Amino acid sequence: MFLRRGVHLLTRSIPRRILAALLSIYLVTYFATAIFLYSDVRASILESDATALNRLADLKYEQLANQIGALATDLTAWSELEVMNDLASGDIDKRVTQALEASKRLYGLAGDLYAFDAGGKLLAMSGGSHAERLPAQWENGGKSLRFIDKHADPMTQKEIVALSVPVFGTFDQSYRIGTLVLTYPWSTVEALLFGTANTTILVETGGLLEKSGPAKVLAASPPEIVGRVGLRPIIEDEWEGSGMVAGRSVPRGGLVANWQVLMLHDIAGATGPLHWVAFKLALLGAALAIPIILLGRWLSERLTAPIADLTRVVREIADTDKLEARVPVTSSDELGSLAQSFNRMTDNLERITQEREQFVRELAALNQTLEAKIAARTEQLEAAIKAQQRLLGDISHEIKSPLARLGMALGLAERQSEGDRLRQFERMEREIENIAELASELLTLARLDAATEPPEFMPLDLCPLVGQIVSDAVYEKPSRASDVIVHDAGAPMAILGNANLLRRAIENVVRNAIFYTSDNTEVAILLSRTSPETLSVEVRDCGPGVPDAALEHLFEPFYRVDEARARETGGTGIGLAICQRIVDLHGGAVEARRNLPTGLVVAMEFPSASLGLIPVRLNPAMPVMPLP
Amino acid sequence: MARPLLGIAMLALLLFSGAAQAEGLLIIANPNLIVATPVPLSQIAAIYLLRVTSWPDGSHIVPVNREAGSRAREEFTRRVLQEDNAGLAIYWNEMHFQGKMPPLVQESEEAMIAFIRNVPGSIGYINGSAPRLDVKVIAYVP
Repeated sequence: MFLRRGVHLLTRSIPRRILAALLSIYLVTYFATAIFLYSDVRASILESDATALNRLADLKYEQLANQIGALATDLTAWSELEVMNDLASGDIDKRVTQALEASKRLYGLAGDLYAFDAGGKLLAMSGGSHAERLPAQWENGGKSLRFIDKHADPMTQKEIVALSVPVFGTFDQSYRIGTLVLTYPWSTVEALLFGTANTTILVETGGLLEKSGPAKVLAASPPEIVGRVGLRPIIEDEWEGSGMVAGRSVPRGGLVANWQVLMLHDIAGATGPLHWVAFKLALLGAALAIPIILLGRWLSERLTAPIADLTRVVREIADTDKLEARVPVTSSDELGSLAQSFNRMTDNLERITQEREQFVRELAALNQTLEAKIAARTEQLEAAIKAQQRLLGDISHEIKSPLARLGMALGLAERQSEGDRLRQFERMEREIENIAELASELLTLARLDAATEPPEFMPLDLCPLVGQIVSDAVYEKPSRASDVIVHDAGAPMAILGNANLLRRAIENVVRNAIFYTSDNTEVAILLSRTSPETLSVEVRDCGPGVPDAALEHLFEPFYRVDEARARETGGTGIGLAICQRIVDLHGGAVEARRNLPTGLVVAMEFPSASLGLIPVRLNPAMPVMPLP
Repeated sequence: MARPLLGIAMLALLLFSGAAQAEGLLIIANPNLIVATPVPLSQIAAIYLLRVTSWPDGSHIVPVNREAGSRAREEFTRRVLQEDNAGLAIYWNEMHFQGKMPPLVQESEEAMIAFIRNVPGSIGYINGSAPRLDVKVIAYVP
């Protein structure tokens, strides 16, 4: 569980993966080396330990052999002493006894010396208990010294080894006069053998060729070691798996040729110092891992920093949709070129996105404009439809009144006399004319509104046109001749337009001013150039004027400020509407405003045409084109 | 064979017993020795000076002395070897160079007798004149 979490933690990002790879390479290499080194050192330590043990065992054996050898030499020398001749005389003078005692004392012998005569009778001894006869174990029929291996002392019953040497007369080397025996306590052998803390075993090998008895353990220190390791490894010298290192003495000749010294050592004891070495190796490995981890971390982060940058920037772009972010290009390798390509791609994306956003904005603006236009047009259409409906109502109304009057006049004419009938016919004629005029005006208005084809325009001068209009009007109403004043601009006012239509529009306004005001009321007509591109025709009267609320409705068809006065003065009620349509057709504007202190001003503005366009001064008396 | 010899020795002792009232020297040998008795003193001297080393039967002669300073040794030196101690010392010094050592020593009469009795071919001497059964008397020095 923890391992999996650890692995997951280590492999979560590329730097960590690199770090993990580095770390695992290091660990495997280091610990393989350490284990190899450790086992090698261990093997060589065990080998040198075995060698040392071999040498030690050899030394021990040599020491033992030397000791026994020295005793043998001494014993042989003593057997050749002159005093030993007394064995022949039964040691009557106790000289042999004295010699044995002196030897024991002077040589510090641990064991005892016994002298037997040729018949095996005990004649002398250095101490110990008495025995009458030479024990069978100690008998020596030969001519040289004999070593008797570990056995129980027939005298003291203690464990001993013994040396037995035949004694010959000094006077005759072939004359056997007795046997000299030296005992050596086993405890002294063991003391000599087990000097150190090492585990030591003395084995009687039986390995001598002439003696093929089984090997046996003579002594062991500590005693329980034989029980612990068993007899088999000791005899067969097979220490595999016993947990011990062993060394043994080299077999040699001499008295103790069948003795072999074994030195054992616990492997654990021998390799004990190695544990400390292993611990230090592990510690060193751990200590080395720290700089390696740091170095690996630095290296992996350095290697993957461009990737991290790229990842960060990509995430930033993905999260925020902001394309301004760029990856820093820090190297010229594959990652550097990747970063460059990424930046180029982001550049393109950003540009495309900006363009798209701009298109969207423009589309939205266009859409709004379009909607506004549609709304405005709809409003206009609705207004036009309303106006049309109202116009239709007004027309019906306007036609119904004269028709009613016609009907009335016709009824009267049927019942009246011939003379009166004529008057009714005149009246009827007048009503018919009214209706015809209304129809004509309406037709004009309708044509102007439809305006499928623009009327024919040509350059003309406004001044003579206005002058003729005024003179025609004054001719019809001479009483007002003194009231009408024309303020001419004093210069030609060229305009591109239709003379008939312009006449009709301006005439309507001038005639209204003259016919709707009473005598002695001033009516002024002003012609002026208000700007290089604009010509103005203003008709001012000082009459009663129009209420402010009515000003804006003056140009609607059939709109009348005062119904009674209208009937009185006549007119169809659509003159000003026609006027406005004509001014519109010429690209101008008309407005009505209050004159100060009283009265009404109707101002018309037209766009000016270049003077050069007027080829000839228009003839004021040019015949007016009949309206269709 | 031993019995006739023993008889001869005892006869000899009886013969000389009257004359040797004072203590004489008995020259004794291993009882098993076969030799004509009495052995002449000159022969005995030759044995002790290691000029003669074998008995007539070929066996090895083992001469045994008493320790220097003993009465028997002194009498033997004077009466058999007919030398004094100083002369003998000079003699043994010379013999030493030839690898020969003086005869071995037994420090008491009992030891002497025990040794002679035990060791074949041995020859020694004791004070006295009485005949002995355990050793062979081969000569008597009155």
